[in-house]
Amino acid sequence: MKKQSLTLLLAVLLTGFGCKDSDEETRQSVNFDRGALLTHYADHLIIPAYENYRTATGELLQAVNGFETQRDLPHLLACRLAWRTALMAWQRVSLYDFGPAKDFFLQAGTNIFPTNTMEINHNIGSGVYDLDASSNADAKGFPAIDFLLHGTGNTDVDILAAFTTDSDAANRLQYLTDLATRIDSDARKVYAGWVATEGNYRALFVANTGTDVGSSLGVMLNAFNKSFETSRASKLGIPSGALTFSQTPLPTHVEAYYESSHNVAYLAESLDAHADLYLGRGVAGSMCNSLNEYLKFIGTQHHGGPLYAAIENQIADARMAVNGMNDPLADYVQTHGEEVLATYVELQQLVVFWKLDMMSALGILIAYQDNDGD
Amino acid sequence: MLIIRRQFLPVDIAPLAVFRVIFGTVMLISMLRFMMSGWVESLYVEPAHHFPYYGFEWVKAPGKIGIWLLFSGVTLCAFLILLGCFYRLAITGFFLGFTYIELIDKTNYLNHYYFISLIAFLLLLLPANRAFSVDARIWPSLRSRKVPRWNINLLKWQLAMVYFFAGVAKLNTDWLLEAQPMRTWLPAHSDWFLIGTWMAKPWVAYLFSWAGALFDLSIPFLLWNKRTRVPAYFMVLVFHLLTWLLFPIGMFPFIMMASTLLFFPSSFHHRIIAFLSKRSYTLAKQFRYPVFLRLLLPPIVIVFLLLQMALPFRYLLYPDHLFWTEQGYRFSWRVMLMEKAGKAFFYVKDPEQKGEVEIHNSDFLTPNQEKMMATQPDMILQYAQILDKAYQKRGIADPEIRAEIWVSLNGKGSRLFIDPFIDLSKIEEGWSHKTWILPFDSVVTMDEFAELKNKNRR
Repeated sequence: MKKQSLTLLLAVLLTGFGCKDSDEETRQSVNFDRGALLTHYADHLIIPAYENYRTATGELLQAVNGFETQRDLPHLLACRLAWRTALMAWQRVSLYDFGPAKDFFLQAGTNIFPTNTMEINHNIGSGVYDLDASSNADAKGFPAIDFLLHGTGNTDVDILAAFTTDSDAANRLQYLTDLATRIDSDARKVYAGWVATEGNYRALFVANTGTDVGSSLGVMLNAFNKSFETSRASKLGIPSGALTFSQTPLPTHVEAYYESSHNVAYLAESLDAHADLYLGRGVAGSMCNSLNEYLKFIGTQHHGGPLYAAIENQIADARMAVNGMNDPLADYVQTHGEEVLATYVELQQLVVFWKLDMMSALGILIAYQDNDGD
Repeated sequence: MLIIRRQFLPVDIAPLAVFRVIFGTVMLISMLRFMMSGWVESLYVEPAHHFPYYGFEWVKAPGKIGIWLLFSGVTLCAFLILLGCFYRLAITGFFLGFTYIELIDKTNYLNHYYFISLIAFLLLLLPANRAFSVDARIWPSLRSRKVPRWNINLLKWQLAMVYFFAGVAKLNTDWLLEAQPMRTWLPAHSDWFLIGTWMAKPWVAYLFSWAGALFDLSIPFLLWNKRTRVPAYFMVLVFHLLTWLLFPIGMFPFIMMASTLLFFPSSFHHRIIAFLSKRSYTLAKQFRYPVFLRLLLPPIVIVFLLLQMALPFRYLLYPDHLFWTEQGYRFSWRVMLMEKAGKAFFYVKDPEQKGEVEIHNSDFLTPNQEKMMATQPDMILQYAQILDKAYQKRGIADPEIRAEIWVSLNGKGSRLFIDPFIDLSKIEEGWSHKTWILPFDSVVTMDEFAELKNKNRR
């Protein structure tokens, strides 16, 4: 026992200066600066991610507008590419479901899948719909656009026909434009909510340096953990059939089902986004102000080794398992059930590492509602 | 013998009367704070299921209107206790109402709620309304100047036990040798002005741990002793204010800081009364219990005290690490003693089909319930029962329920908590040892278990 605490003490002392070699400035004092951490996250991860997402949704809308004026194959392909880029960018913002994202219900309207093609076709047929209605929650966002751009016909010719010669072509085009407009305006609102010149949630976020439930760190990490669990369940768990009694894969429940050639990439991007939050890897700035460094700093152990190293290993393992899967995921879940479940287990281990070991080490109560403790 | 006889000698009622006022005031504030924080809704209305205590399954959440009526009633009782108005009725109502609320859901168990129930029970036995009260104003015949000494000592004894047993509970290797959980919790405050830099230092965690244990063990004696009382009370203030700043422990520090004033002599309490009321409190006779109570109370009080002294040690009847199994953990003044967190994955299987479903815990529990359930075996069983019923309703005749639960205790890394293959729906809750809790030292890690799972599937 004594020996253990001695090594622990040593580990604290040694790792406490781990970041100093690489970045002298950020580690002047021995105490870990949560304000600097939050500033780094806001300026180098969160706001750039939203900015990138807003740019991508703007380009998607532009491409859709271009397609509106010229309904030919090149413009359809441009729409598809812009859609893919935007959905990829979405993977890096969906984990920040707090602050402006929460205020504008970003999560609810953007990426609910599988999409409801009956509802979509009904909306297009009637030409009258309210995208805010709860019945349309699964008839909008990226999955609905996926269906419109990739699933409205068997060949590109058929799909083009759906937007040109089909009796509902005009309505369908209008629906596509409405969806793209909605995604873009939501993205703009949330981005504006963060930046200093407008909503300036950034200032609130950076200033709230406590560790209690309502603090920025508490709010961000609760959103992070929830998002990772949701991502694991919706992108892999449900399609794999792991969540049904019959264990029958549900291929139509994969993300981006109609496009189908980048399913694994979205899952990988989502995993990377979560890992980067943990590692503090942003578009710029030092990774010294990160959760990973914080764990190094306090020297938490995990079965004989440092916890941060165990988490880094698990991220690598999970990434490798995800990379081992192939598109289209809809086929893969049916032919490679075992590999899918093994990947699902790797991600489950990350859930435990992040939601349990990391949170416990950070000394933040994962109380999703506040209450007296004792 | 002499010491027992001394307990029946008359002493001044003032400390008891002031204690009643303090208790009523703090309870009034606590209840109002609880209601204004929205906790009535989030803890007693919103949850679809509750976790009642073993043997008290008949205690149910009384619905939205019912729970608000209950809270209002208890709050009114606290106010009446403060005034000393219809005291018997008020303290009875408070004790029953408050305890009922606490029994609804063990998710919300806190040592200080238990403490409040106990104090309310004791006040029920004591003539705390015989001076400095509305009752004494209305009914002069009630007025009393003296009460038997044991009346005051009983409350002091209860307070002393809280500290002392909290101190005894700290005498374990994690607390003393590894400075856990202080070592996990203190660095979170490394942003504090000036002293923040020290919060992440191990020696500070050791200092807090040892000083805390020493404080808890010695403070009852220091408060009781005339010569050390004033510095001791100063230490009480420092200790509780510090814990209030460091940890999210709500009203508890204030309850203790106010309650321990009881240890001061009656002259002190006279000054408080004189400060609060211009009317000099006209004093009459010595209070005497009616004959039947004089016979009935001593055994009740003795049994109460013996039980209080025995409960913290009931864990010795169970094998393995107390913090791990939590068998005999509650009702023992184990306050802020461990950093324990868990993550539970529940699986329901229909024996007639191939697969099992991974449960989305938030479909059944609030985040708070989920968090508490994941580390407490009796709640794990109750949750399995909740799932069992829910899936029977969905048409599965005999669901099998298993759980893969990871628990981390005092920074020792997540390890498997219970037998991940046992069908929890078939296990009855009871007093006996829960053999399906894995031994603390068995340490199944995630990698080992993942390998096992993947092998099982092939």
